[in-house]
Amino acid sequence: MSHIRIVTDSIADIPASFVNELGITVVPCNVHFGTETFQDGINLSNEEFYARLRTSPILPTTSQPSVGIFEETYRRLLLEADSIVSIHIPARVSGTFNSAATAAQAVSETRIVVIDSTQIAMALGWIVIRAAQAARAGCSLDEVVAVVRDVIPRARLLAFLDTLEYAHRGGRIGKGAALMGTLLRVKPIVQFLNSELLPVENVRTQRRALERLIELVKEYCPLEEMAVIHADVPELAKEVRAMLGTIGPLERTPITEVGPVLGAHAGPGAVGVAFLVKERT
Amino acid sequence: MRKSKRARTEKIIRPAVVEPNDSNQVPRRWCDGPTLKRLLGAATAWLEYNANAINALNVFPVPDGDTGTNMLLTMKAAIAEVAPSVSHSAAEIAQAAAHGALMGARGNSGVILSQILRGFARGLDAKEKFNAADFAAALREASTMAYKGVIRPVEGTILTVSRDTATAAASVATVTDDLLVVLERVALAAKDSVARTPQLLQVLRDAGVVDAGGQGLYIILEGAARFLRGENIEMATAISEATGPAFEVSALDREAGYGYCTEFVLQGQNLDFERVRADISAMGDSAIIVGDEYLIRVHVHTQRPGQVLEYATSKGTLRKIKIDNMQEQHREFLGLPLPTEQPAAPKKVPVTVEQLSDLGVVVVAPGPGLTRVFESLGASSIVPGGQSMNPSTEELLHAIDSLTTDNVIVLPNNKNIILAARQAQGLSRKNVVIVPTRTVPQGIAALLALNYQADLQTNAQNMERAITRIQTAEITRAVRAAEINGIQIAEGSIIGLLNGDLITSGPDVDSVVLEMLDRMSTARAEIITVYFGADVSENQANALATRIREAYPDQEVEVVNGGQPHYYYILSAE
Repeated sequence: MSHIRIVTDSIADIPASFVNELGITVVPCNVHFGTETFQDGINLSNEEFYARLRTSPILPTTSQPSVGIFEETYRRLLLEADSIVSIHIPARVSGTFNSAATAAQAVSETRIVVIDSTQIAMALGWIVIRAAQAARAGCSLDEVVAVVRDVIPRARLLAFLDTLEYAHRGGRIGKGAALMGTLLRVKPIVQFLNSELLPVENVRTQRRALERLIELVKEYCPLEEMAVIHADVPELAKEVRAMLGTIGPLERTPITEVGPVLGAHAGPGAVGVAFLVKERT
Repeated sequence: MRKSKRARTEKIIRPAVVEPNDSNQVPRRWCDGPTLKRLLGAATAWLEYNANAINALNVFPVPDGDTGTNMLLTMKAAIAEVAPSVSHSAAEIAQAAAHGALMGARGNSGVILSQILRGFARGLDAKEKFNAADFAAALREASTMAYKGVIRPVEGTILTVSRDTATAAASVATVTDDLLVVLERVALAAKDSVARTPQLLQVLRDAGVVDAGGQGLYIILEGAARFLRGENIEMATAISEATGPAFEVSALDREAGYGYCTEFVLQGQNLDFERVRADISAMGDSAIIVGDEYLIRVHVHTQRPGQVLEYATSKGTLRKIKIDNMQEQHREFLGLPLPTEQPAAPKKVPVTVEQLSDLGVVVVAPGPGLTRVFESLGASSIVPGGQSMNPSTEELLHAIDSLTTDNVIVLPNNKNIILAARQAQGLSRKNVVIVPTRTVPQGIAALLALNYQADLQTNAQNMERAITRIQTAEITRAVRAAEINGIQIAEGSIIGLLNGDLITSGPDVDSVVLEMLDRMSTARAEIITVYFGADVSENQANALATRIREAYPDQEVEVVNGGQPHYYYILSAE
């Protein structure tokens, strides 16, 4: 039993194998279809979600886990653990961090450290995994926090969206708004960086999108870790993984499907690469 | 008791407040558990009536307003927790509500509301029943807790409103012990505070709205006051007249019917022009609304520019937004001093799109449709021009120097314009690079390759590479007989140019298009884009597209109204 527990939210989309092996606690975000509310990954599977996303006349909205759920989680974990490092999606795009920080204040200000990861999806996931590995290795609370601070600036996410429609309707597009109202069908390549979705460039064909994605990822080599993420397009994700073969060790490159919260904003068909840039020595 | 305006639709009931006297003059001095329970129910019901109006108070120009819904669901979670309780203790009821809200909070405003309820419960301490002074103390604690719940508190939000209500309650509780008077004063203070939120918060001022979370808190307090006044508010019953935002009456100057002259360009796809015109016209007067399914230009005088913008953003993207306060203009015109307290709405709303980088792109485009395409792809400036209407160096220079950026890329999109562009480059003191695009599709390919995070030189190189990957066909009519590249061309025949070189001629447009596509190795492409010109109808273009789809079933065919003169069609395969 590790004396430090790592908590994150379901937006990290960490593969179950890592979650189980490293004992990471994932707090579910909420997904709403109209008045129906689901908990991401608890009573709404990715398959069900994407099926509804494609067919439902109501677009889903999402909301952060409540302060109460965080409080419960923290209290339960602190029965056995000494302290908690809770790492989350940026406060700039979600209230999750605020919920977690408010709960931490109520439960214990000294034993819980809440960190804004500035990242989403598996870019957040890798940060959480590094923290959990450090905790598993017996690091102190300060050391785990130091690991997280070190990894955050090296975590990157590049992706292309099949359509901007969902990002636009979700209102989470930030500077990408400049791409809206495009009269031609384009596939925007975007980067999530410093808590913000940034447009990188646009392509018109899927083939070009894949090529550019790989080219852009290559500019960051050498990489420490990478994961292919996708929204309901597993075959395309496999293709991207194969194309990444020249960059890094494929056996360590998981393919993860983004859950409902990001899926609702990215829309089906999005594919990306979340990676950690290697520490420069 | 004041006669209720809502008596027409709602039965007046005697609230279960203690001291059951028959007279209105008797102060309601104490509130116990069961009364608080009903008060919370009434406040929630009042919030339900008003939730949609709160949703509409949306700062960002995207249809994501859900503050009212989030606060309502939070209140519902609170009263669901309270419902089974038979406690007579006000404190226990408040604690149950706080717990329910804490677990059920949705959205940032819901989280803060849950903190307010939590603080209120804490402030009641363990009191079985509370009086005016207790209530004021509980509101103070509620506000303190609300501020604590936010990492970086921002004024001009529900937080400010919570503090102002606490202050008002403390003040009025020193002069009366009548809870109804206190609550009415508190609700009034909330309303005033909400109306002031745009003065405290720039984003509200820019959007021309009051803070939605603050409005939600005001509605909750107003619902509570209405309950004590004896009004019966039931959940989800037919709505009579919902309270609009406090801002509507308090902040807008209705004098002489002046409002805001609101202008913008709405851009989108498949816009229902007639519908948009009808809807916006209904929101104000002096409306001038022109356009088509892609672009609608709006001019309207309205008391509520926020409502018009809100509506328009649900249809597409807004550009060139300009809002003028006509009251102020009128006063200026008359030489009157401006009112010292400024109305809540801004004089000008900034255009929503931020400058993405320090790089601007000047594009030369023939025809309104292609202009819109380039605009939609992020061109900073469009110079009208093309075949037979080449822009001057000065026009290009003016476009370059008018940009706010020091680094400029120019896409001439015609081989006859490249030189003028180079001249303009030499004349400008800015860092200018000409990417020598010779056709419109090359220009589009180049603009798509614009990388917002790369510098001028890198972008220029990326664009030059991008234009080598695209094949352009242009279809036009021979204005005289000629022999070019060994091809005999009769006057008036249809000719096809591949990447600027004449390679074929034929008797009719469609067959030349299909031959061109064949010569472009289209079978290996993913997307064929057809830009039809001013001399071609949309029906003709669609008929051609059908033939192209039959010939190339594996390719995506996109038809765009280019509106270019001279060229029936411009096509690209990529």
